[in-house]
Amino acid sequence: MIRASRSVSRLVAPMAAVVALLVLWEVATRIFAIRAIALPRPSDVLAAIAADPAFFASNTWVTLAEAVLGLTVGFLAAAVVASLMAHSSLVERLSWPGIIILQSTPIVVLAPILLIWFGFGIWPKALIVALFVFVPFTTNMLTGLRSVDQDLLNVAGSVDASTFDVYRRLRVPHALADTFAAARICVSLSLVGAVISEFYGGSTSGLGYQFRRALVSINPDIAWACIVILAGFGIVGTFAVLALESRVLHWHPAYRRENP
Amino acid sequence: MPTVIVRMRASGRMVAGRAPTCLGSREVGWRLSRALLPVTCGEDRLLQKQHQQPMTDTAHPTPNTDNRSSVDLASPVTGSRPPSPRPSAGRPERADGNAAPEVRAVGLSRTFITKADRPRPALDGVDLRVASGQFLSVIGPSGCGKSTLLRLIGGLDRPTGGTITVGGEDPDVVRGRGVIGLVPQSPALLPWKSVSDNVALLDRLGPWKRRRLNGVTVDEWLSRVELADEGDLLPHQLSGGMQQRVALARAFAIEPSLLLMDEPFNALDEVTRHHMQTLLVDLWRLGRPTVVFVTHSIDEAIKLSDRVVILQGAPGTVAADIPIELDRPRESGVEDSPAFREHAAGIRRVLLAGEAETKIHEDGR
Repeated sequence: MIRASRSVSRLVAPMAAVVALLVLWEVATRIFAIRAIALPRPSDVLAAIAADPAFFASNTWVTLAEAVLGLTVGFLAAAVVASLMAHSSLVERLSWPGIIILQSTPIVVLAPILLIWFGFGIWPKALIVALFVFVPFTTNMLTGLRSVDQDLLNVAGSVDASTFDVYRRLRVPHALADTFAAARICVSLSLVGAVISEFYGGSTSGLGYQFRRALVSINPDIAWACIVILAGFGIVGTFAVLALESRVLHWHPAYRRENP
Repeated sequence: MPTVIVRMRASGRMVAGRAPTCLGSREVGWRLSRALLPVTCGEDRLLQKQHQQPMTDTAHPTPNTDNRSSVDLASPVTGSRPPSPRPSAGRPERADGNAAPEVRAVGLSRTFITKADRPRPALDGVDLRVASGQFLSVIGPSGCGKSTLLRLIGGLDRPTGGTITVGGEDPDVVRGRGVIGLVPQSPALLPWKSVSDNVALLDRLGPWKRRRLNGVTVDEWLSRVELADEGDLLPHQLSGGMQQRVALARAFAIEPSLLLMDEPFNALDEVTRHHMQTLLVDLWRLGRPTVVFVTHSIDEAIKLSDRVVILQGAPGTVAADIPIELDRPRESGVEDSPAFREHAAGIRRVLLAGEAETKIHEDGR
């Protein structure tokens, strides 16, 4: 009973918050008579989506594909780099300048360059997303791989465990908590990266592209519809990561239930 | 009260207690006694006879590691007692054929380099010999290099001076065979693995991948540490004492011939600690590995050990080496026996004297 109500509140509470926000938005636009160009009513935005669902579905698909591909590439690259850095101080010293440069460069300026390198397909956009998520993933994974309890490492060392076994059985599982912490941020970051990458030349579809087009052609309902859809997927994605995290990290202090 | 004479290193430096009157004659006396009385009574000498090479390198005698030569510290009256035969007379056959090794350190030193490029010696010229199958406790104040000594014996660190051998071999070689068990200060269990998987962990790690443990043998080890019903739980669902029992089972499950323990019962309450000590001795008698047990507790050291070595100073040196001649099994009331209290008083005296000397030394700087 308690558990049922807990899972209900876990789902219902955030949804109620979203609905409340939409109601508040609707009421505010009506009371203050805000012009649609500044802030359209949510009812109009939802009507715009309902008017042409196929259009929004196809554009959403394009953006999601870029985000998921970029997230995957960024995650894998970060996993490789962090693993190498955790095992070699030389690699670490060589890597930090690159990571810092990456972090302090506005990645959007790379968009046109990547366009030149990789053409008009999904790859330049996915790579922008990958660059967005690479640094948070790398730094968090490195922290996780490094912070294994010294006593545990000594125990493994006392039986001459191989570096790979220590990595596989001790470091990687330990680093999961930090990796998930990064993933929570990176899911929404990947959507931002995908939208921004579509702002630059070469795009002909995607929510970011349609958002810009709608703004230019003074079509606020469609522009805001894009924002609402992106926000929705941001929420869904983040919650999906949280759900997975609580399942995978059930042993972690943050997720322990004393009586399973 | 006997004079406290403590010999340090091969150089013959003296420390602590009452000033010795004549070191030379004492040393000669020790050599004589060794020559004339090769084996008398007592299990440890018996073990030495069976498993140790006769000491040949006269250049580096390690008198302070010999029972006979060690400090005559409040030693209880033993003459009237018959040599105590342990139930496991003779060495039990080990599954892997690895006899419990003798640990031998000669002039062992370890100096760390600090971040400011300054040398910081942790151990300086430690001579130590642990007989095969012996339970040795190392006691001493914080920062005297106890853990460093343990890491050197286990091959987890390399000495910067002197030599350390385990069964005549480099500890690193022995480590590669997977016969060294380590019980660290914290249980250090994998929080994402079940208790059973944690017990089997060391069997699955390492280049040799022995995989000798299966479900049945893991359960056996669990019941030996009285956790038969807890195998499927996760470590965080256990109490601190239970977690430390899992760590014990994990170390013993690889059937170590050398067991290194670094203050494993420090965080436990008195009752749990008592229980753990009994359990440890029972497990030790099962396979009779050589044990080096680091502790802060005088009572714990006496209760568990065949011998207690006092490490002192910074850098640490061997300040005293005391055989504990109490019958085994040692019942729970043994702490209150006069012989036990006498041992405790003797060790405390050395520890306090060493502290005083350190203070004087520091004041003089």
